[in-house]
Amino acid sequence: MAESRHPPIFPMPRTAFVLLIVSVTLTVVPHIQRLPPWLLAVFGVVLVWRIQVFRQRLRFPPKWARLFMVCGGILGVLVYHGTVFGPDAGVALLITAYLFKQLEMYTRRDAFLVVILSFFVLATEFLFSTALLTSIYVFAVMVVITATLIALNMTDTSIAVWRPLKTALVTILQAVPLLLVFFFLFPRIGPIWDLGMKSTIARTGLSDRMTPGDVAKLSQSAKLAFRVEFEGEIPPPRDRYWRALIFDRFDGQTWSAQGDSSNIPYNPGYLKVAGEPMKYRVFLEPTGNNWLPAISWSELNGIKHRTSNSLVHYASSVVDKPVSYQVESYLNYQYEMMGVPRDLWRLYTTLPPMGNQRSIELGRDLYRNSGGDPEAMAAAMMRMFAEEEFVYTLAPPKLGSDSIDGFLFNTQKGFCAHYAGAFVFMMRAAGIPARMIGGYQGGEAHPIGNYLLIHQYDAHAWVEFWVNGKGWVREDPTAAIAPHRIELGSLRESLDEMSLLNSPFSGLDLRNLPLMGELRMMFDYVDYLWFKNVVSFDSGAQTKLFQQLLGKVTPQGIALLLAACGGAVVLVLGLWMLLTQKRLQKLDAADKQYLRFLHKLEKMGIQRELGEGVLSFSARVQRIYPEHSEIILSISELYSSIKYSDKPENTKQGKNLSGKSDSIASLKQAITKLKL
Amino acid sequence: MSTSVNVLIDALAKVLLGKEEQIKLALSCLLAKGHLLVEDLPGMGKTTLSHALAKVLGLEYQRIQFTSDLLPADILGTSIFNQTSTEFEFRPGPVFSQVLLADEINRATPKTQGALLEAMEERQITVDGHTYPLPQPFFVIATQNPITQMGTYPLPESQLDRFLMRISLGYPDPTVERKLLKGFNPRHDMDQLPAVTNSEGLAELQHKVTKVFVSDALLDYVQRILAFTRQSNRFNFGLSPRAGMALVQCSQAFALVAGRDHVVPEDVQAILPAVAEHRLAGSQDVTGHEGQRLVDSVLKQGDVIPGR
Repeated sequence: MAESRHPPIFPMPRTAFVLLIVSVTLTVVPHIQRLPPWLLAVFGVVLVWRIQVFRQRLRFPPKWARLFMVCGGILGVLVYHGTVFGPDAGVALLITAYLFKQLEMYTRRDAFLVVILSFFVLATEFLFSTALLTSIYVFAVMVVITATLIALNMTDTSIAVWRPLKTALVTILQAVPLLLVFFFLFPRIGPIWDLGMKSTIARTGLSDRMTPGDVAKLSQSAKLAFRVEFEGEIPPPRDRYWRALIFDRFDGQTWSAQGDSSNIPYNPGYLKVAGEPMKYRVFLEPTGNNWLPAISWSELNGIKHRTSNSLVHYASSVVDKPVSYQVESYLNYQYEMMGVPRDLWRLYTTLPPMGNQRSIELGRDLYRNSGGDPEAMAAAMMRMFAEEEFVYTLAPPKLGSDSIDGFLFNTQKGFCAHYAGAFVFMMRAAGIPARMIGGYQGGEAHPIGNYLLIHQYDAHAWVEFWVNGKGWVREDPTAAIAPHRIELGSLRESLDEMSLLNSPFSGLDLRNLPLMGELRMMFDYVDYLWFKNVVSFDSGAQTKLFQQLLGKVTPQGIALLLAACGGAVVLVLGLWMLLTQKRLQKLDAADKQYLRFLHKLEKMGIQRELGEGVLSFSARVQRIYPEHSEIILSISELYSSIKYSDKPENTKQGKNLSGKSDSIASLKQAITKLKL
Repeated sequence: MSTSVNVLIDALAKVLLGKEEQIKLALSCLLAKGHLLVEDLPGMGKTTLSHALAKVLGLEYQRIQFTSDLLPADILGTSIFNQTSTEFEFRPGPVFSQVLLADEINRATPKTQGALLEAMEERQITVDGHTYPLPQPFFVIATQNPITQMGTYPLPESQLDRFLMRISLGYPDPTVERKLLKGFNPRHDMDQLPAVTNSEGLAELQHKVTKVFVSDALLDYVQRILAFTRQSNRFNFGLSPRAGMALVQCSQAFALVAGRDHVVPEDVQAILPAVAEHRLAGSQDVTGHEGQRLVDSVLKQGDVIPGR
């Protein structure tokens, strides 16, 4: 075997090594859920190996082994992710290299490199999450890594671990004011490169395809979808239909948003709104999609977007990080009262070429019976859902190939998507343009903050059909079968009996414990504040801040502001350190008077030397001013006796005075009398 | 009281011409109950000063010339077998006196130095398991040649610390030297030197020293000096609390010698070189004599008036 050759090994202090291992572990841990499983094994092996090397039980790996490890690592990432580019694969590759570097850490310089790399790997966590907890975690780990850096620089080998930790904490806390200045004032430049952040992780949320059954999966998720902060009163739940996307195609099994309607921009000329708008701000969690939920009809501000003919808002880029936008919603609106474009008319009346014959016939019958009036037909369908044996359940039985027939005539059990689907299907069978709307309904008002929480289990599907002269009319078939689902604004009641929701840690179950529920709400409030004030502070908000501070925003102005605030922070910190280290001593009355005397002499160009005693200085000054010799001596003796004797006396009158204050008074008098 | 001190100074000044400052320091050291180390080249009047001090204070004194073959028993004394009483009898050595003049202490081996220095600290000695207290008062006035000279064993820091003050006499000024060259013999005058006081008088003076008032402002100044020696990186190590106490005691004694009932910063400044020089070492001190420069910097850095 070839002997591994490397530079002499730097004897790392024990404290530094312990901190380094802790740093590495803490840095990698938050990434674990995204890493290929084999990398976790590597993580463990490398740590154990490195510790054994430190304990001199094992050697560093030889060169051929390291070469093998590196090639294997790249290959492993490539196989797992299919690429080595993009955030997930990139971070996996970075962490692989970072871990292997542990086994190549011979010199002090290598150790520094690992520490710096730790900061970098830690920062990549922000590619995936900017939540409050993540930020707190990153901050804490930053302290540990800084402590490692400090420990590596300490010459004393036997120091306790807490000492560098304490120094690191103080250092970082001192940097916080500067951090704030940079956070608010450093110009936010858009990314120069595109990371292609469209994550490969399956996110729980609405998707642009809906096979009845999907919503059930969604409803189990207690993950937050978005928060809404209203400027005024929170509207009642029945008005809170958060439109997110349109399902306009049906292939017999699956409803999908195939894009035909979403690609056509909406025509402002066809829109008629009335009444005062409802104003609110939406804080949307990452979705991995483009759509931006809002109550129709709505106008969005503060985010780049387009609005489709189906009145759905699409962000110009995928929402892969939390975003917020301002909305003005008009509940009272009409769109396309006079007609639907021909292409869309065809789309909204299209049924799959075959299947579900009984449903088609039922639809046509209902249409005929209601005299060709779409609204009367809708009312008939709602009545049918309410009066027949339909059951609302999140665990519906499986449906065969003719899913609508199976639902309407056999099982009669389903949730919003089943009812909405059947509704749209029958409408279309009667030749009325109809579409299914996907989004969220209701939401939970936060007890402390005046805002609304909309979770994934609030996901909902409802329908719109077109009425000549009225435009698109909204109907919610679920309201007929499970009215509380709409009135309460959340699934809570309907979910209680659901046996499939008994996962012990789901947020839904925790809601039953009052304390946990309160804690959860408290935490959500803090998280909301964090999101609202920190994460949402983007370049737009920054520009607004600049406008408030500077009036006119110029690069020079920004630079000046940044320099001024940064300078002020450094100045204040510096002063503070100066004052705490060398506390300015308080001068007593005698000192003040004596300084007056010194000041008088300084004006004449006579400077007391540092460390020169009062009496010796007096002798020197007396030689310079023999004519004032007497008064100078008496001043000096008075001051000296006030300061150093236990019975200060007025030397001039040669008699004891009752107290110190009298001596100070005569000192003051004498100094005033002195005219040079 | 102060008259008594002045008489002492006058008497000493008669034998040690032009060295009033050193006389005051030496006297302060003894009044503060401390041992004195006089360091200078041979022939500068070290022995004259020590003899004169002992005589003027009216104390019984012994002199030992330290040599490299001096043994501890030569200082402490030995037990001798008495043939008539068939018992061992202790014959006290020269250490049993009120003033011990240890001439050229750094010529002796560390073992012998150690024996003396132990006696200085404990004010008692132990021989053959018997402990014998030393007379009261007990002073050691040691002289030494600068350690850079041949054939010397430099005292380690811990033993230097036993001496309250280290002073040096320095060359006489020209007028005094002229007088010496004209045939003035201090040794001759020494015999006629009167004993101005005795051990009771000395004890009284020593008690007065402890009554000299020390104000808070002065202690602030002393603490600034101590803090400076501990914080500045020019020193190997700062002054110890014992050195701080020595500073205050010597300042009190010096104030008494100067005829004041309270201590002023000038007193501290006057005794600081003598008290601190041998206790301070620079961070790159090889000779052990960098203390002087360091003390100068202390005097410059620690100001008398706060808030500057």
